[in-house]
Parts: sequence; structure tokens; C-alpha cells
Amino acid sequence: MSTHPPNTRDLKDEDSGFLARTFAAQQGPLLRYATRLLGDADRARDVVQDTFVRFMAQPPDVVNGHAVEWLFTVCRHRAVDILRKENRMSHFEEGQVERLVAPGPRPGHQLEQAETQAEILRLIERLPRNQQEVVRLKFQNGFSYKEISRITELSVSNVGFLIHTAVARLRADFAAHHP
Amino acid sequence: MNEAEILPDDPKLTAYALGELDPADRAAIEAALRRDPALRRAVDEIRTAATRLQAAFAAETTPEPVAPVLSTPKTPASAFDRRHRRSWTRTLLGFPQFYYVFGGLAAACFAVIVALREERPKTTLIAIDLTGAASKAPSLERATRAAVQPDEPENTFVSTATQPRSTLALALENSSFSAVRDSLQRGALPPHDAVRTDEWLNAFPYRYTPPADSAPFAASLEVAEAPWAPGHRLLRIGLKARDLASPQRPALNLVLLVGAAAASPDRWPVVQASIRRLVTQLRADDRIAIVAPSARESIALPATAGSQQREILASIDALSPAAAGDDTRGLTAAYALARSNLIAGGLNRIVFCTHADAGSGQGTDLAGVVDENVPSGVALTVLDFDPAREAGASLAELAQKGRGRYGRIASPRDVAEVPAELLVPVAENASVQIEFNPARVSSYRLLGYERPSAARAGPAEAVAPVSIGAGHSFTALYEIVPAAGATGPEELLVAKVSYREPAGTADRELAFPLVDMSGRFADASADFKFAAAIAEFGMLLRDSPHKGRSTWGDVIAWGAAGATDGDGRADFVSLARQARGLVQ
Repeated sequence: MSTHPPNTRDLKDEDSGFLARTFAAQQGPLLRYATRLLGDADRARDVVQDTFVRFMAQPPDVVNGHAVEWLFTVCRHRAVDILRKENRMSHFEEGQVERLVAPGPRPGHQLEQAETQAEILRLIERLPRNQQEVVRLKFQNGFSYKEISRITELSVSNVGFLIHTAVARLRADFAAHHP
Repeated sequence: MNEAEILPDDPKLTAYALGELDPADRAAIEAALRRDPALRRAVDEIRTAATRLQAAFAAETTPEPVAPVLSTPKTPASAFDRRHRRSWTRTLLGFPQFYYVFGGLAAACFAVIVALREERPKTTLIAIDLTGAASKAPSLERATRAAVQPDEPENTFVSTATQPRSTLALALENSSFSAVRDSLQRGALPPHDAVRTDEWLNAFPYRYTPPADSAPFAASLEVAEAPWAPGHRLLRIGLKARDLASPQRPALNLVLLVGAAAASPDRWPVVQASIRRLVTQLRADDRIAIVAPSARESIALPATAGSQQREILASIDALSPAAAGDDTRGLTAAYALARSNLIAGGLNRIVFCTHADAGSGQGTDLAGVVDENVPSGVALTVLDFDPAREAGASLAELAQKGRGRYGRIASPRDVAEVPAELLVPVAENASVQIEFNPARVSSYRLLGYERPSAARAGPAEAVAPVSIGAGHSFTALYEIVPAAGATGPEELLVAKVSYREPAGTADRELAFPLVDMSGRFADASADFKFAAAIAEFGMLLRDSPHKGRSTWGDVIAWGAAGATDGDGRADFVSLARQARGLVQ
């Protein structure tokens, strides 16, 4: 283990530009991800902040080429650590992961389309938590199966199975609502 | 890839539709798509669903308000950790706070980096191991086996400072048990990596107490000195699912169908033992009938209340492996019997005892009978008594068609537990995580579990969850190096079982703490000693660097601990004697 705390001020200009761009682009998605995992926006912010602090301390070649994946992986580790340590029993009841995001209609969309999207989000909320997580990482954050596998520590085939099961369920649910 | 195996419900189809397959798999799927319009329709639907999902997520608003995360670089460890750290965490991250704040590679981060760097290569080797042999489609099982590396190294000690948690899948394959047993019985030493201690531990039944309350699991945790390593402790994790006798399930209307193949003389004792065991767990309000087409009359026992144990067991004893009968006729009779005794709101089930070689030639007839009877609400469970290692694909399909489950009886534990497991689900998405207390445990070594898909250091999500049926038991062993100077009644660990009720949507968790009372091995339970015998058996056969003071004499002495009829321990002892003869 290194005994020398890396000095983030030693970064070259190009690196700090990269950092700023990464923060700007990934702050929202990471917050949303952490909030889902923790069920609480305050702690999610702490985790995301902590994740970025760690990110700044990384030598650029460690995260080079997969910075976003790195951020999600570390963010998840931090969130899971907190869930495990702070309380043995709570936070595992699904009800605690309340919908913190209102899937309401957005101006400029057709009402019908917005309703469809809200309905899809409601259907997603009913999926098991592990399925929700990989579905969001795939369809919201655009990660590949392999990247999701590394972020969540699930096997690639397990990721594939969870996504497959979730999509099958959503197809069936959606068909039931729109015969 | 076998072209015939792609069904509209194959996860590979979803992966294909989402552009996630490698060229070889892609070509195989495309060949199947050209043949099958149903597959093409499924791919279209998956892509439509994907587009809808992306649109729905894109329209989702971000959590409000989003404070700028980094504009005021407050110390991440201060307020945050004051609120959330606990004593264990302090042990883990026991550095001066400023160091933690500024040190990008401080303890917790170090753990993360280690996990990232060392575990990544493993993940690519994991195949689907989702539901255990009992309910898994055979093609998945083959895929799992093919992906297992030929020579997997044993687990070594893991420090609790970097990784205090270890996660295990609750259902295991048992191919190692049959492979090693067959090899020893042939008089040949098995290849050392064929000996999987985890599968051997779970090939035998134990006397774990089922849960007394409404919880789906009870834990039997035990710790004593590790007999092969002075100064180390041996930890036994035992879990038992709610059993079939529990009042927390609907009444059963059961029809046992003894297939012609099951009635062959070599399989008959196993068939009888396993249905006897099932019968003893019935409740008074259950009904059971037995159809045996090989008997002079088809119906060997008319529908009888579960309370009439003596009568039921007598009729099982009276059955004999007579001349082969006609399974199709038997299945028709079984459905008729089940329908006429239908329990509304109950579990109406036929249990078809057979083996994989059966159905060849008759398969289509059986499937036809099943198709006709599916609307009746009677489900068909298939028990495969095939001693060979490959699961019977056609039998698994038959069970799937009959809306029931398929299971293979290959080990003493299977005989005792699988029939009940297949009938009544108790929990879904189940896995167990052991959280060691670094103040008491310096490092730990998980015995067996060389395949990364079945166990993993880290969060519970890392291991594929499985569904668990009534009466399922699970056993794992850890060798523990105690922390220096550890005293007092502080917890050694907490075993956490996460699961979901079969019909529920909420993820639940049970936590079982264990305090080490410094017990000696000599005072440990018979189950504990038997498990230690299996551990030493595995280490001696593998010639493990961890075997320490293990001896064949101990294996044989402890292997007989608490042996009773039908628990397989006597067989284990004779296998151990054979192995000793081959090694020495």
C-alpha cells in the first residue's frame, strides 16, 4: 500500500480538463445510481463525492479508457459497504428503495408517450432489485454486459440472464397492459 | 452450440438482440433465426422493449436538488463517517482521519482496488449457475460444466483486513461426488481437482434443526478447533430450509408414479428410501396415492390421508421391482387419480419416479398425456434416479411441459431432501454471506468452492442467487486464523441469508451471529466431526498444502460419527478406506 498520498495538484492541465469534463458528465448519472442503491439522496451525495475524491487520486493510467466504468464500480463498492455496515437488517426491504425520482410527464412530449414511459418506469420499479440495477446500467447508462459484469461483480452470463429475465417480464407486463 | 437448443426464452437471444454476442454465437443465433419465425419475432420484441426502456430512462428526471458535488471540497470522511462508521469499520479503517481523507489508497480504497484488479479475470470464467441441478435446464448445466477450468487451485487464506465478507451460493452441483465415488469404486484415484470439498460436504444429509418460527431458514453454526491445524479454528455453516412438514404451505394432493425404469432391481432401494422419506414428512391433511403400473394392478395405494403413515409405508414396502409396466398408462392413471382428489387451493402434484434412459421410444406418448392434462391444474414433478452424471434432457422437458420441476437423485442428501424440495418452494434469490469480525478473525480460508461462480469474497450480489425448496440443507466450512489477543464474548461473525418469499417482491435478510466459546474438537457435534472428516478426505486426496495433521485414520474415525441408516456415512467410510488403500 502506498504511504505517499498522491498530490492531486500535480496533475497536468490536460488531466484537469479531463477531470472537469468527467465530473460534469458523470455527476448526475452517478448520483442517480447511488441514490437507487442507498435509497437516500444525502448519503448518495456523500458517496459520489467520495468516489470523485478517490478518482482524483488515481494515476491517470489506472483509469485511462474506462473512467466511467471505474467511477460506477467504486461508487457501487462504497454504497454497498455502507448498506452492509450501518445496519444489518434495514435497507434490504424493498419498500425502502422508494421511488425517489418522479417519472412524471415532461414538457414537450406527447402526453400519450409520457404516460407510456411513466408506465414502463413503474413496471421497472416492480422488478427485483438486482434486475433493476443491471437494466438501468444497460439501458440508462449504456454499459455493455462485460462492463456491467465488472461493475457489479456478477458474471457476464448472470448479467445476461438478469437482463433477459427483466426484459421478458417487461415485455409480458407491457403486453398485459396493452393487449 | 447445438442449434436445436435455442428457444424464444434463451438469454442468448436477448444478448443477440442487444448486440452483446461474440461472432461465433451470433452466427449460431442467426442460423436459428433463419429457420424459426418465432425466434425472429422474439428478437423484434426484445429490440422494441429495449428502445422503449431507453426512451423511458431518458425521460426520467435526475434526483433533485443536485448540489454541486465538488465545488466545496469538504472532507469525505468526516461528517459521513461520524454518522455511519461502526466499531468494525473502525477496525478496518483504523487510520488517522487526515490520512484517510488525503490518501487515495487508504485502506478501504485498497480493498476496492484489490477486488478490481484481482477478481476481474475470474468473472469471465463464470457460467450460469442459477438454480442448482434440481431445477436447471440440462443445457445450462452442461454450459456450466464446460466453463469450469480443468485445474482450479484451492482457496487460500483471505485477510479480513482487506475482505471481511465471503458470499456463497446456497445450492451446488454434485457432479464431483458421483465422479469421485465412481472412480474410487473402480479402484482408481480421481484426478486431484475432481475432488470438490464443497460438493462432497453437500452430498450428505445432516441433522440441522429446521426453523421453529415462520422464517424460511434456520442456521446451525458451530466452531471448534481445526483438527488438522493447531491454533486454527474450524467453522461450520449449516443452514436448513423450512421443511415439508411445516404448516406454512397448502395441503398436498400427491400421486406417486413408480415408473418402469425406477422399478429395476439396482435402483429400487434408492427409490424406496427416497419415497419413504417423503412420506414421513407429510401432514395429516395431505393426501397421497401410489400408482405402479408394474404391479398387478395400476393403483398400489388409493388416496390416503397423510396421517395414515403406517398404511402408506406398508404399501411402499409391498411394492416390488416386478416386470416392466407401461409408463404412459401409469401416467394417465396418475392424472386421473390426482384430478379426482383435487384440493382447491392446494398443491396437486404427480411425482414421477424414473430415470433418464426411460422415455426413449415412449417420450412422445408421455408428452401427449402431459399436454392433455396440463389444464387440470395438476403439476408433474420428475425424479430422475439415473446414476449417470448427465441430467436427462427429455425428462427435464417433460417436467417443464407438465408445469413441474425436474430433479436428479445422485447423492445421499438428494435421497433425503430433493423430492420435498421440488414440491414446495421456500425462498427465491437466496444466498448467504459470512461477515467476519476482524477483531476476532485475522484471516479465513473457504474449503472447496474452487469455482468462482459458487463463492466469492465480496458483496452478496456477486454470487448467483438460487431458489430453495422445502427441507433443503446447506453446509460450508471455513478454516479460521484467530486475531491475536482476541478475548471476550464478541461475535466471531454474522451469517446473513438474503432471500425473497416465493410469491413476494421484497428482498429479505436473516442474520445469525456466532460467538466462539473456545470449544474443543473432541466436544463438537457428530455432524461437525463428519464434516471435518470430509474436509480432511478432500485435502488428503488433493495432497493439499493445507492438510497439516490430516490422517486417513481420522477421516475414517470421524466419518462414522453419528452414522445412522440412510445417511450415507457408512458408505463414506468405505470409500475413505478404499482411497487410503490407493494412496498408501
